[in-house]
Amino acid sequence: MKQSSNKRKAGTAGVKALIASASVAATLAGWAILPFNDPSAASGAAQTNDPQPAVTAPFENAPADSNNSLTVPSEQSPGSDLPQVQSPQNTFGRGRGFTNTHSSR
Amino acid sequence: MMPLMDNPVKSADGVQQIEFRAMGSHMLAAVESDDPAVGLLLAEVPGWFAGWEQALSRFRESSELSVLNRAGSSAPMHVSETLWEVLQLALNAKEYTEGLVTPAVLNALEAAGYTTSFDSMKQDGANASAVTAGTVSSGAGPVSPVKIELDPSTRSVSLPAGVRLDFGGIAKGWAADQAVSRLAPYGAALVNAGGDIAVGGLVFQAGGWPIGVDAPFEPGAESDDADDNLLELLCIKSGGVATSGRDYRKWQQGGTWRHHIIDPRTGAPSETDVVSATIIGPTARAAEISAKAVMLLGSTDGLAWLEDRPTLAGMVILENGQVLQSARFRKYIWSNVNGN
Repeated sequence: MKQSSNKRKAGTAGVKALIASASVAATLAGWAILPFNDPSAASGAAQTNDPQPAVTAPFENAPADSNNSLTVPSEQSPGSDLPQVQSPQNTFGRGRGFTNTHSSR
Repeated sequence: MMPLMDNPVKSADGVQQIEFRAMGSHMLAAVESDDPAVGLLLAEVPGWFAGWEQALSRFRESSELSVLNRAGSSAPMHVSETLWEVLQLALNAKEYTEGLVTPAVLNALEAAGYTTSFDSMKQDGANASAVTAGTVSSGAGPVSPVKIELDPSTRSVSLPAGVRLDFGGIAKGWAADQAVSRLAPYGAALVNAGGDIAVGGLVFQAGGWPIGVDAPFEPGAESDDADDNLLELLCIKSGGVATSGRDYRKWQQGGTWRHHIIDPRTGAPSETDVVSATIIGPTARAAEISAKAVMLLGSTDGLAWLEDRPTLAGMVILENGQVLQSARFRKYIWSNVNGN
């Protein structure tokens, strides 16, 4: 009885795995045909191909909290094993800054 | 807190933002969020800056810094956490830059003619960046190494006789970092404090904030379209970007151009080949301090200084218009990151 239950559980798990695989494949196929989507952007995963510099300067030991420490690290997502596309489909940045840096003014 | 009606929080494309004036500069705070509670938080940002300015401004007679500058060595003065923190930062910056960036330059700044806020100087002058400030001064002389007495147990400060402090851009960089640290828990956050930019929280639009680098200011040459003045477009996911320059805060003193970047080795405005330096660093305050150091070092030594510090990247614009970049700078150029 126990053995049968285990077999049923194993069978259910197998079906769930198949459904999950099919779901992921269908989702990826859907993304692929949409011109404005790419898996890496849609996953919401942080792009970490180019890590920002770590804090090493002596004055970074000041009590003020480093905003780097508040940066949310990359989340694992179903698409994280796929090749990472670097274009994030950002609605800003097409030749225009959200804001600009300049000497104090 | 400044009234909400004076500084309305605007919302567009999933970003809420507020713009206001503080510390003699234009300020912007933004969070990628549709949550109305974030709008309420953003409405508080001008009040944060007002409090910091009241502690850190050398232009306000009633500010804590002005009181400290007047107190001098008469007696140790108990100071606020804000002043204590920024003073520690400024003293650490002095060590980090081997004395190039020091807060003990107020006497030299005033000798160069920078005696009132730049907004006041502009109102008194005929041109935004060409105001006249008395006769030319021979300067205050090299800024001597000074030992500022600090007592952490009582959070008290005692300045040596004759020494007065100016935090300058360090206060803006620090304030940008502080504001971002408060906003970052609510989404991708950015604060631009007069050109010193801090970025934190989630990565903006899963890619990074597009941040432009303006060309040096030229009176009368500004286009109505800010993009015409863009030298470079960066992609910043976290950390800070700051620019130090002698292109805008400058004036004429007895027929000689002066500016606010004091070289402590001479006690006079710097005379290197660099007009402005833009630095990317782990925080806005680190970027601001490093930008000033590069300004004072000049292009050759400044870029070498940057290359020796793996947490920094930067570009400099020279007097002759030439633009030079450190090796790591290209990693942050928008087109290199995003391909568009």
